[in-house]
Amino acid sequence: MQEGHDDYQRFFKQIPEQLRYKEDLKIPFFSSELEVEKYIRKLADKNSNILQYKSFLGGGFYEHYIHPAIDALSNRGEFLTAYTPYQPEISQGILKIIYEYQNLMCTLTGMPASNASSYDGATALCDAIFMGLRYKNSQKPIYYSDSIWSDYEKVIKTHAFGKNIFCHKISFLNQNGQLDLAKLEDFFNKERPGIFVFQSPNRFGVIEPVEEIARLCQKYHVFSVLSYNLFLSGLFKPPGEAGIDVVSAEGQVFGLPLWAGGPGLGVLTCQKYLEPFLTGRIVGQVKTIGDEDAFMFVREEREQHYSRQEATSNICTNQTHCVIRVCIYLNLLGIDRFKDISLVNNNNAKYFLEKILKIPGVKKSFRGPFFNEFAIDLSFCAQKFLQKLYKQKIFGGIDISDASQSRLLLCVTETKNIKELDEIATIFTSCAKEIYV
Amino acid sequence: MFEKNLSELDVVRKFMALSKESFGLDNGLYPLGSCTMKANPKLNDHLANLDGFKYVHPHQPQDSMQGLLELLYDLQNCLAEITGMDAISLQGAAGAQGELAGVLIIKKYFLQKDENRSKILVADSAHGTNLASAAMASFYCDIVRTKENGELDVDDLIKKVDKNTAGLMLTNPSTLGIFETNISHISKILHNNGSLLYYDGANMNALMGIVRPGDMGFDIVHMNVHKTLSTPHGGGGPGAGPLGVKSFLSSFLPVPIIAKIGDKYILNYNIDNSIGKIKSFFGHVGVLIRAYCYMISQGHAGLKKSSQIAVKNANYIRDALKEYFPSVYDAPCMHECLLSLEKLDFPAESFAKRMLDYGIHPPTLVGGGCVYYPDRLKNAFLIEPTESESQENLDKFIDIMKKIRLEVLQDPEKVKSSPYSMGIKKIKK
Repeated sequence: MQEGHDDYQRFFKQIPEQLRYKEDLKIPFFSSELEVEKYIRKLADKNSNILQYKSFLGGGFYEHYIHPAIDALSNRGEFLTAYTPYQPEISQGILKIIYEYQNLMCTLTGMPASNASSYDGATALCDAIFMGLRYKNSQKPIYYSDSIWSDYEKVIKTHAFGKNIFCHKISFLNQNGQLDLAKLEDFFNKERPGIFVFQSPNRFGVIEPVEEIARLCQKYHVFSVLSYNLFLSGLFKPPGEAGIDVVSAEGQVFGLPLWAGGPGLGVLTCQKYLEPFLTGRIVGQVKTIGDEDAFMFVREEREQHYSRQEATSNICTNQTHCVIRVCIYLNLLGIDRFKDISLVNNNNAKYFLEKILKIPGVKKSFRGPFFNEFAIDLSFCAQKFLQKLYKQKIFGGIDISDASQSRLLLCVTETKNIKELDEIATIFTSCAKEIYV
Repeated sequence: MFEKNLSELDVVRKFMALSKESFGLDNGLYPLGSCTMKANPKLNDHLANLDGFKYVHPHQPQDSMQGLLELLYDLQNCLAEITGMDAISLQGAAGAQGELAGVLIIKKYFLQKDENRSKILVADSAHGTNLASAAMASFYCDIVRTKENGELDVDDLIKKVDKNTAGLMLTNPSTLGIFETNISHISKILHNNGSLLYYDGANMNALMGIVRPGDMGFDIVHMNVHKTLSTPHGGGGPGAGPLGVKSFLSSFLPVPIIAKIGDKYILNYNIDNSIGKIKSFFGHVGVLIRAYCYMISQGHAGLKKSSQIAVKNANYIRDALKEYFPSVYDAPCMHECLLSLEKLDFPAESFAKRMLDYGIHPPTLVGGGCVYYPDRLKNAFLIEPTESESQENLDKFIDIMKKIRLEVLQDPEKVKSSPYSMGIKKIKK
């Protein structure tokens, strides 16, 4: 039977005539899958990408090797095309993965509690701040260090506007590029803030003295929120063990494609006493009527579909597919290789920095320790330098110059070997020579 | 578990086993009302994973990602078309984030007008995220009743609209699957009061190319691309929640917006009254690419046909089951039908668990998952087959519903203790 337009009219007869759209939607149309593919490939080919260019770009999203098994497993239809597991009996696979992910995040951050994901590192940081607000239930001010990512600062401002709260910025970096502990203590003593937010490594790539800052926060009863790079736990004590109250992080580092910045994965973990205030879904262990162990979403009374206006957040769809990828990534690594990769990142970054410090006009911006990202001060124009490097098929870093200083932020991960770094250092040198006179 | 150092083969086997304990649309019927579990075309996954998209770093110079920006710009235009809105932001990480951006726009709009309006109205059947999003913008919510016919009670709305009302959040068709025939009147009531009308786009799959939210009088619209535009649900995300507005609100949109200047595409962060950034970088690009591929694969005719078939399929199921599972409302349903289990006098939750033994995912349970209903609807199914299911599959679903009904009549206790074939028994409440 040929179906014409009139065959469907009876299903829409309740729609008032004046509301009906009489024209055809102006949507481009490609007559076959092949034609769609040809067109989209043309668009993709117009972009440069980090397989073609040697990239030193970081700034919150990082180039790490993504094992092909991650795509192969996470893209299976049972995972990729499933809905949120509201029917736990048919979804134990996904629920087990989320539960394992939560445990992995707890291990990596040294915390006892984790959610099942926030949208990204920036919104997870907002979630962390609001957890502090609910926990402290006081009017004391919220302060954040100006050394968090500028994107994160903007996202905090937007969310704070919603809640009619104001987050104050402080600027206490010393010459090391770290928070000045003496100034911070003095500030805590005088101002008695409710919540303090900082990031490690910070936006200059410098690792903050997390344990000391946690100690100061505890001493002055300041709720501490740390935005963190999870790879640091391959080298240092995790922040939960140091006494930080809440940790947020960007989980993209563990096997998520770059995709021009999204989707990412917001990691959110906290101390035991903060569990009732944790935002987002949580998977827990339960029992069946046959007394078997099983998994399902627990403590849903915090969430929007139960508590509606009283919910801790409005989050519904979150980042489960990304959670699955991260879980596979960490399973493939195991603890030993995780530590190895952290070390390789750090060693590669140190190696490359040493090489380029030999270039006239290039200085290390800060003396403080770094992980895989560092800032360099230039006595020549950063933009011109980047343009020259770009012609040599190199994304040389992020221009973070200000009015007084030409400065680049570079990231070096395990994706480059020593031979490559040597070759690229040579190109850096020759490009700099063309500008530095 | 992190302590173990597993081989690749160990990891593969582990996750293959876990996949066998999971169930996706690719496995079988998934008629979840309000979720729009339509087919996720593999072509779109494949194209989103092209190197030229997957390996683009967000901090690359914009000149080096012109193909991507062109795609996102065109997607903005397509979304404006389908929603009948004037300007689009692609920033929302999910429908709920689009909602949050929408209520923040409402808040800032009235702040700028120096009007103190602290109330948002929502229907009693509103999705929980509507109220939670309003709360995140420091609004309080007042509930507007649904009438016996399933439509919003306009008299109740009139009573509750006052100078303190910033806006009404509504979905149309509603979460009950019913088209709000009074929407033009509702729109007038709100606008005459100087309030704004917000559209929750969760149910747009009923209307593509047939009715546009902008033409219904909505000022702000969000879409769920993981529902209407076929991007995979992923077991609970990531999705994306783009936001559309009428021109008088376009300066409030979250940044960045993709703009075109001459031949060049740029990320525009300089929007005068923008509520700012709601997430890092510029949106769920990996998801949005799939949404765009879907739209251009369908074109206007395909999108309209999809909605027509989605509505036809829901009505087919409704008619086929009306003797045993009557529709809660007499009004014609749209892309989803709300069927009552009152006649059977058996808890929907237990009925749903038995469906698992038949190899299908149950429909949305009223009061369970994401969908909230007034008390009188506690024992019903919201069934959304979508346009992707064949006649054969629709009949299979109908058949299963009838079979389980007979089982309930013969041995209700056995059905109450299901499922039996899932590897675990029913989870204890």
